[in-house]
Amino acid sequence: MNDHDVVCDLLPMAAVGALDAAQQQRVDRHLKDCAVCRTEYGDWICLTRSLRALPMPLAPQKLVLKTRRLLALRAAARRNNRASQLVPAFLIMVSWIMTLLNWFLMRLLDFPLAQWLDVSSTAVRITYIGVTWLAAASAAALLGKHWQREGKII
Amino acid sequence: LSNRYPDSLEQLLSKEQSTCIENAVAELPASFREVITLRFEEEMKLEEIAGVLSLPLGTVKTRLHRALKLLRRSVSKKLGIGMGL
Repeated sequence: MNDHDVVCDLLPMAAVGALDAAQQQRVDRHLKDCAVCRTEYGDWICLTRSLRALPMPLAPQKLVLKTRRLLALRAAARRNNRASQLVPAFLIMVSWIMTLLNWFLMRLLDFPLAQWLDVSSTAVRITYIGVTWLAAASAAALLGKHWQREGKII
Repeated sequence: LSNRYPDSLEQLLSKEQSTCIENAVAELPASFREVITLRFEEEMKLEEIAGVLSLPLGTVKTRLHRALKLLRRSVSKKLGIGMGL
């Protein structure tokens, strides 16, 4: 993309006044030399001016306040939801790690069951893999239910 | 009357453009329309919009940018001319 293309793409946001200082300078510099972009920029200004001038139905003040309060509540709820999503994810990790650690704990501790856990035994290995997968799947199912309740997934 | 005629025509054209832009805004996808409404009707800053909608600032900028491009295309198509209003 050359400078002309980049600036062309920035023009709508320039017309809205939503560029950072560096981008705005770049646009200003280019506009001085490029008649095509100046015309284009003029068109964008026209559009944004028309948008600002659109007749607005005057909503009752009570309704405006109520809507704003509702928006603030929804934003707070969304923030809370995001935080609560971390909890099940954390649970999955913990369940996985705990299941993995159990193997070593059983081997390290002088536990009667530990003697039964023979690493070389295929049956034990398969059981162990099965248990870890089952633990992770259960945690994933819990997470899925949690998200479903919150409407994140259907 | 002849002096008043150009004004009436201008008003008519201006009204047509205004209706056209209004319709174009109404046809935008909801996520774009809310950004346009908050920016131009509520005159909110982009940071405020991001706060109200709980969106990253970058997402608000992208939506505004796309919404403006869609609007311009739609208005130009409807009026059959460029945007030189």
